[in-house]
Amino acid sequence: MFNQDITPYQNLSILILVSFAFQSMLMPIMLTEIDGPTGWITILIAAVLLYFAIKSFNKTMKIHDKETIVGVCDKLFPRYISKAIGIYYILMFLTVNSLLMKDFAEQIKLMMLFRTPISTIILSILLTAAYATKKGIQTIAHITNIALLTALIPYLLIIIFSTYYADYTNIFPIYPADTEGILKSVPAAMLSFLGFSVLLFSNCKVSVKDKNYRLNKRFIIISSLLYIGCYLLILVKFGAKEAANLVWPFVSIMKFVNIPGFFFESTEMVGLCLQMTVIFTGICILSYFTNLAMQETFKTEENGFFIYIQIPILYLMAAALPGMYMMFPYIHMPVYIISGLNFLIPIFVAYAGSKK
Amino acid sequence: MDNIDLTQNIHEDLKKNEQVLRTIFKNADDIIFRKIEAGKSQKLKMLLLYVDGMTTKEAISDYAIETILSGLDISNLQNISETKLQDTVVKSNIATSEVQIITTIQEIVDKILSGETVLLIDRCKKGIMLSSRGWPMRGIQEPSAETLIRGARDGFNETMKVNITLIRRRLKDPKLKVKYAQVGNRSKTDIAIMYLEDVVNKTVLETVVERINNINIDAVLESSYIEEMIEDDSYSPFPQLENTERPDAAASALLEGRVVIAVDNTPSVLIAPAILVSFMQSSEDYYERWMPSCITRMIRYLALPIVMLLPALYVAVTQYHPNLLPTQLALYVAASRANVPFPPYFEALLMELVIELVREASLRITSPVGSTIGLVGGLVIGQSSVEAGLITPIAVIVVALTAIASFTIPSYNFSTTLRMIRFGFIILASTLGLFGISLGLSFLIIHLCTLKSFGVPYLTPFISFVEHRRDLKDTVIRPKIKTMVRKPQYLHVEKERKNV
Amino acid sequence: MKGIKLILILIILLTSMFLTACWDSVEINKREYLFAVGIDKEGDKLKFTSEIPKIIEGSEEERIVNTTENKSFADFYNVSYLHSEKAISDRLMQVIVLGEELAKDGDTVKKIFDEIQRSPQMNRRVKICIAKGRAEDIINTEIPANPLVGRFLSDMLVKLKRESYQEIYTFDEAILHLGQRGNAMIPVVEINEESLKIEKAAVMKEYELVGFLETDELESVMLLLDPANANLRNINIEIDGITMAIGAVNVSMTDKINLKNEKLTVDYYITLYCYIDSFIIGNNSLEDSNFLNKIKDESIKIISERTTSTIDKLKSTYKTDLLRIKEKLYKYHKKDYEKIMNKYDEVFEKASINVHYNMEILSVGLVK
Repeated sequence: MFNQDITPYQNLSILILVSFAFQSMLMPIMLTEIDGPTGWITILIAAVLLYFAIKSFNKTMKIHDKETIVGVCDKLFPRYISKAIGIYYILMFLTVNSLLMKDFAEQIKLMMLFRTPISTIILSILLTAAYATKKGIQTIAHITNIALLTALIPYLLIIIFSTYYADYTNIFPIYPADTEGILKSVPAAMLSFLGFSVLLFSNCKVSVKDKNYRLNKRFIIISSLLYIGCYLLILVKFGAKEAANLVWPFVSIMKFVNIPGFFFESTEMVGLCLQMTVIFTGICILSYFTNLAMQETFKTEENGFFIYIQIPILYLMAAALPGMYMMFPYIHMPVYIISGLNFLIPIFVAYAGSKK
Repeated sequence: MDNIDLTQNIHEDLKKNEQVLRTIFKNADDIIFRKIEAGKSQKLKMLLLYVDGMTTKEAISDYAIETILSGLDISNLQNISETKLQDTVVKSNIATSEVQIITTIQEIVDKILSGETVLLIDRCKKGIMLSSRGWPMRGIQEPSAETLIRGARDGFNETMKVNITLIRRRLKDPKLKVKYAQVGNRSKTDIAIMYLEDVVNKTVLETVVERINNINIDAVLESSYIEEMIEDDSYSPFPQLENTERPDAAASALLEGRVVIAVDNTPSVLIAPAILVSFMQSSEDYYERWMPSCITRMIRYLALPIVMLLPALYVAVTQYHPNLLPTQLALYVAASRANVPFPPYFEALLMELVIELVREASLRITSPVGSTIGLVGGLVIGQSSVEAGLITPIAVIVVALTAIASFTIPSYNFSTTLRMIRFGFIILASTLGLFGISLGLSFLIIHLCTLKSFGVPYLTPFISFVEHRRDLKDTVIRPKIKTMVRKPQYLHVEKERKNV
Repeated sequence: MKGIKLILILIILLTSMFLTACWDSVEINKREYLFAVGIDKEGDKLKFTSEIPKIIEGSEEERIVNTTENKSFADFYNVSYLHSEKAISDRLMQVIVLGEELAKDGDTVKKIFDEIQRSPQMNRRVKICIAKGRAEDIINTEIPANPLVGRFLSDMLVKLKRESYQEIYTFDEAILHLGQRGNAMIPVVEINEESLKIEKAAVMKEYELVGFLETDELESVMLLLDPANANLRNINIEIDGITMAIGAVNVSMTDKINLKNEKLTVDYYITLYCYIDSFIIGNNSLEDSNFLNKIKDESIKIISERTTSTIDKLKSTYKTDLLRIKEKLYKYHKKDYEKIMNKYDEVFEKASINVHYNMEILSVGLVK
């Protein structure tokens, strides 16, 4: 009864949380791409696409339910293809993780510790995350649930409160919508559902498989609702024009918290602390699954060992990469490529699996 | 004594036995060797052995010796066989509750030392144990560490059997099982593992039994020895077993499907597994009306962050983020700090140290004076150091609030842990401000998420709040008893309903 | 063994952190808090007048007022840093006052706004107002009851916003309105003998001060913008030689926007639900329905006149669409909006904006 696997709902919360961390990071792309407040259509399109991708992929997964996507590829394809897919996922996880870390460290530096060197902040986050990663999937699942209860929910509440004195008519006009912009930002919206890539690895760790497949689909629904909700809240508060101007809409909205009867002078710190827990959990989750991807690709049983390899890589990448906000002009191509691969690889595997 | 083989059987010759035993108990003057010659013409030689003070004198003199002396009628001693003789003695109206036949010297020694009386008969290869345990015992008193306004006033005492009785009086269920074990190479401490057979989680029970059997220790002087030997992670500052002096709390733990470990010579029992939530529950929550209890419970959970974080927050705010405070307060704090020579982190550490000193001192001093010392010490030191300008009044308020909050946590060892963690947070806050506190909290959460008590995750039910949503209702709030008829989910108990 | 290693690593990490960190640690009493900053234009440079409360124990409050000439906010901080033994901190900043002359210079306002918005430290909920005259004089005013001008203005602005006397009170609202709509009404602070008062609003268009709205005009604009929360003070009328006051307790409004051949027509239909606040003892004419109708007609006349003149002022003098008709067009009639997007100012100037009032007297008070 006390096995080492995680429960389906824990898996669901992992997927939602890691997606949320990314959604808050990639939201600005969507805000700038689309002229007008119709980004929620983009999110809906992305969610529908991913929903059907999960549906078809899970059919293949049901046959190999003890395997990650790399393990499934091993059975379906020649060695080099499965290795390539494994290495792609390792690199992808590493990149997005370091981006997340860099962005987050930058926020902390700017808002809280102005003179503290950013390397100290990155290192302290990294080491703490490594400690969690080494403890295994169950600890990660537990942390996620705790973070969901103690950080994400209060965080969302604060965001909702910050829309006091907001103009709710900002969600108009819906028609005529900027179709081109909507379609162009679909890849970014799809990439922000990073849980979709994580579930390819996490599903094999879940104890009750059937329920998990059902919950996978529910993940897309819940996560997209959350995303749309946050998107609309930000629009309502800032208006489409001003929102496009912001580097970190989620941090900026914290600076506007205006809860009636709230006597603290600035709430962005409290919000940032809550956000820190959320993003930190996202980093833990990503480093765990990077570990898992490495372990599957290189066929070793060493579970926690890879974190020692990851720490320097992540540190260097986070230190070298420019922050998300500096990359906006160049981000389109990488986003299209990564998002495309993330979406196509599982579909490809599912197609190959259904043929055999 | 080293040369004597304890496993040897009892010798036929009484003198030889006596010689062996006297060597074993050399220089142990509290062992009484009482020789009796009974029967007609005093032909039947017997030896009565017991420890002075651990036996009830009446049991030996009134019931054992008297019946043997007067009632035993053996006319032709020479002719009857050994077993017959033994039988006769056993059956000769010895008016003690329990009589047992023993065969080896080892057994004799063990029995005597546990307070039983051993009767050896000449020409007999077996001894007879007469139960006569009885020693000065503290009466059943109100447990001093867990006093309640409403609720039973009886508490456990140092005698395990009494403790078991107190629990059994509350659960008159044949399914309540008590398993005995002995731990300690020298102390030979009795341990009882109690559980309700049909609701206990078998895995937890097996783990408990296995770990207790694996204990290798000289002596168990308190249940904490057992606690340390069987807990999952001894490097964790958090207690992984609950202990209580209240029989009602133990009974309720049994009903939930947990295992209770009673240790002799200890006025409290251990409860396994323990989760964080269980340290925040007090029996009183269930004895008062549910709505007020609900509020009390919530206040207690509010105390949790205060105990851990308030001094650290004070440091972070005064050193890094004054803008977190309302403007008026920020100016007031700044003004009150204007002439204080120490930085805030030192101030906080100093005051915390003072509080810990006062607390420790009041524990060591005899109780009537102790509380006075605590009060006077706290007041005088706080007041005069503020007047002397060594610390700010805000720091005194913060530290006092923390101390008060720490006393609202029902479990003493849990609140001690929290108080210790506080120092770490102060240091983190002074180095990295609010970010440091968040970092520390992340570390703490990771640790707590990894921690398990007998296979049960410590942060149950929060770590799987969808699956175990039924357990959530008895955490931060206290629901109506009507709604708590089902067993907690986290233990995966076999029989689910409490009432059937 | 494993545990010992862990503890060792922890100790090393903690000590190294402890020895090297604390870059940002500045004790609360070693900071200097800017409470209010007044900014004036002084030739090429900006003149910053800052109010800093003195950190002293006890109930009485004192303040220090500094004046420096700098090029920008950042420059101002640097100079202040060199002029004080404490670290200057803008984290508790309550209010920013812009001088009238400065506000008329759009480019400088843009620069200042950008600096505040870009700064991660400064609280965006800092209140903002425009001084009638020089900001320096406002900050230098000694108010006997409340020595800190920053707090006085801050409390006042919060109150006015809550009661819907003013449209905005914080910097974040000002920047949102200016960014999104191109115009905003910013409260105007004036010297009132030994104290300060906020009655008027400044009309900002494209970050530039174009004029002021008097109290009555502001009231009319607020009524059209947010009728549900509007605070319509008394309408004073005179009928048959008796002066009386009528207060509105509830207002409902519907509006119609119509665009035909670049001719914009906006109709507002407003119903005021009123109470009679003051009349005269011994006169029973309030029982007479004709008299009540007379009251209605008279009040509607007065209030319509007031509204019409305000709208005319907005249209012809200020040429500023404070009524957010452009935004409504964009949100609900996007296709129409796209037609006139580029020449909206002309369209607005020629637009016919009509307000149709209706009044219902709900109660005459406790006596007949």
